[in-house]
Amino acid sequence: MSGSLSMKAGDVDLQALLGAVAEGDGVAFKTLYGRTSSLLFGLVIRIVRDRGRAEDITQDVYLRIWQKARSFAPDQGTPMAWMTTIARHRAIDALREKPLQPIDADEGTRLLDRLTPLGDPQSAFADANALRHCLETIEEPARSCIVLAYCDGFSREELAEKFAAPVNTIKTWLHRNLLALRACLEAEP
Amino acid sequence: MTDAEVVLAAEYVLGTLSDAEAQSVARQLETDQDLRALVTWWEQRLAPMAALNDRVPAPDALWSRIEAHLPAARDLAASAESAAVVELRGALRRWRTAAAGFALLAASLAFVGIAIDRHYRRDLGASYIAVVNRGGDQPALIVRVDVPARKISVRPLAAEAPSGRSLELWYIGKDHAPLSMGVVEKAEQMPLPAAFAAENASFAVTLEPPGGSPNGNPTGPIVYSGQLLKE
Repeated sequence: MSGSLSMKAGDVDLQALLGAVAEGDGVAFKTLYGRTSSLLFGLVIRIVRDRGRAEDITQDVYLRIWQKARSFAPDQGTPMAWMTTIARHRAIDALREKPLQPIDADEGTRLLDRLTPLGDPQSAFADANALRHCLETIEEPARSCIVLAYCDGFSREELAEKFAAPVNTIKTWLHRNLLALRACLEAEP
Repeated sequence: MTDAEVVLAAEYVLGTLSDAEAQSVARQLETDQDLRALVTWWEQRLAPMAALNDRVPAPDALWSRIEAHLPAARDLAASAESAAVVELRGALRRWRTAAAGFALLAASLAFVGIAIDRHYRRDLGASYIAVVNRGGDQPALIVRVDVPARKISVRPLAAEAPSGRSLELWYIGKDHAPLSMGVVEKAEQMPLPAAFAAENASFAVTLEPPGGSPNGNPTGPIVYSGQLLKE
């Protein structure tokens, strides 16, 4: 299931839950976990590609959320983006420590298609429309590089292998297109 | 901001920097507010991509492992539990004397009380209760679930909608979309939804256009909520 509908109702109060967690409220923390763990566990599994490791990492991610909740600043963005950042950092660190065989990730572009149903102003990710639009302005294969790096944790070297290009070419693609992506996103409301 | 800094921050967020580069950025972030702001900007703007992944329910045991690592987790749970029980008893007492009437609480857009779910049992013959409120306040509604009779009864106590809006009650089960239980106006009974499961269930009240949500999904802010407890 997409989860977008239940997220819509639930995310209204993620910020309040996180505030309570910052005060050491264990019940709020359990509720926060119940609302967000399938999303964070899903993204960690996708990056580390191993269920057992993903469980260990997700455990660590929630303990970090518990410890760092006080440092969440609502004026700097959504709770979901904040928690996502913690989970991605931890998952990518783990992946770099113990790399796996690159998977066949032809679905980078297919994944991108799934941004469409996220164009929901009330979702946790209110910027989904802008991001989709701007990613669509990025030409392939640079667009897939960005999506595969974000969603699958591909390193420059893995991207180079996948696209049969030198690492320096990947760097150039990223450099040019990340600047274009920023310019586009800044022009979006 | 130079282009190089913009790209450095973006690649830091994407995770495409080398270990040495990433560690250097991490150190720089401790003191460089501008770079910190740039990284935060990218984290926020790229975050919608995280929702592209399939959600994967975490195994039940994972929460127990997390809870076991929380400092004084037991104390926290115990104090929250006793608070919830006290709140529940108080709510029941007030409910029994509800004929005396309650002063209406002005509906607030502020969130929300969370009761505790440690009372859950997988006992399908049981009845359950949710005290739907805004935190420490007087309960707004009592939702009672009688599983053997397949009935839900709703009793508004102190729930008030701003004029021109309706309060709509939603059943929120595990892993599925909120299910409308109808607009809250007066005490009433309704059949138990087929999808009902007591575990992790909660009820929430949102502020909707007159007569309820136009599309069957919650459209307004949550003004009250409460989790289901075994009675």
